Amino acid sequence: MEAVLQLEEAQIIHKLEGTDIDEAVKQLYKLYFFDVTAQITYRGGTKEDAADIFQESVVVLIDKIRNLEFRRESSLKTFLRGIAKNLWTAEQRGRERRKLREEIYTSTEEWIEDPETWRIPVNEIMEVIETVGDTCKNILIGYYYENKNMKTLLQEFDFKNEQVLRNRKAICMKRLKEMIQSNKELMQSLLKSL
Amino acid sequence: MNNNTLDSLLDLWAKGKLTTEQLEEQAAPLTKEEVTQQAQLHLASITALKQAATIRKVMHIQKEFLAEQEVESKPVVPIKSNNNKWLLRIAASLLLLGTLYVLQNNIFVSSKTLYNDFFESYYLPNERNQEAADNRSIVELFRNEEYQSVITAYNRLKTSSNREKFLAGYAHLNTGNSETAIVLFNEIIKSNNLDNNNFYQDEAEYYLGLAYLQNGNKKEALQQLNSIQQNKDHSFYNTVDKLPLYKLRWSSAF
Repeated sequence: MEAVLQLEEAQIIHKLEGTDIDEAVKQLYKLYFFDVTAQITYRGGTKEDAADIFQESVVVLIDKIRNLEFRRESSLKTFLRGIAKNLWTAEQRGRERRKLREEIYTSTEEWIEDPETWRIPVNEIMEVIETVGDTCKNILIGYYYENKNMKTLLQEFDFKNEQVLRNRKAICMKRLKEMIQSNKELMQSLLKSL
Repeated sequence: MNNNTLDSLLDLWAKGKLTTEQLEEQAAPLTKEEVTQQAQLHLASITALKQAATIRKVMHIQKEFLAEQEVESKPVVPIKSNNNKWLLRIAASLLLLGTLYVLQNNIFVSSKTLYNDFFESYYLPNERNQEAADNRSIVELFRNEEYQSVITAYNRLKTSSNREKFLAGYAHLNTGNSETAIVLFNEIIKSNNLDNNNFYQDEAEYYLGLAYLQNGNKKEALQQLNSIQQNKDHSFYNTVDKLPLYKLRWSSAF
């Protein structure tokens, strides 16, 4: 039996609200990757640009679903296309490739506000997370993203007891905070999404 | 307050198990502003971790997806593909050479080449009565193909007939002096129009076409030869009808 099932949009959204998002993300790629990337290449992007934009669009989509910002007034496809178009527009603006034209959104596409307000600084985040080291990264993601308790994490890491693990987690978190605090733009971006 | 304690308090607060006031109270001796700053930083860090986890998963899935697409889109390369490629290249080269040959010989053909193709020597018929009246030396020189001498003799004449003009014009044409030939042939045509004659009219019209061609005036030459081709009663109709006028038509278009 195939691991990836044909999920309805509502099911995809429901899955994306949680932490077990793999199957839902695979379905997004299967259903919408070529359609969304085609509009990027049509607007002057390379295939690599289009793939990067789609990836970022999926991350933004998940973020918005979790923050209850996806109002479900349009389809997932329409919403995703809108995100991708805006991200690409912002990217082009950043590259100073051409004079930016204001695009008029049709009624079939959900209005998206200025992408600069919700664009996720993917590269900066990954850089900061990688800087804290693998052990810290896995402890912190395990605790804060996967919602594992100390008892479960203790089974995955070679620490003496829960208190030692808790101390280590605190040190890792402090390191992460120092990295974020040192990057003012990243800090502002993260605060905006709170 | 040690780091571990603050971290635990902030965790409880972030999960909603502590109110802000309780956090501020338990985080003493930190000030309210310091607690607010720490709380914001804690939430920002948690957000970064959640986004990083999502990004990491999406990146991994995209990598797998694109790898699958690459495998599916790779075409099956036939064994003889290299041979086919070379055959196609040879065929394309031959086609190009053929096209260039056709173009060179039919479109991009010079006036000189067309003149040589179209030129037909003129045979001067014997007209005894006329010769008695005309300057015999021009006729004898013409028959001897002494064209420069024909020109010299013509230039000495105080008056000239259409015949003498034609012979002189022909001589100029054969010595490469197309401009003078054009003038002389046009004089013949003009005088015939005025006198309502056709004395050496057909000869003048035909060789005027050739003179235009020699002079590089392809369009004028085409006009002249076309009018002959449309007149079956013209003395030079059969001559012109056999000519490859299409070459002149194509080349005059460029």
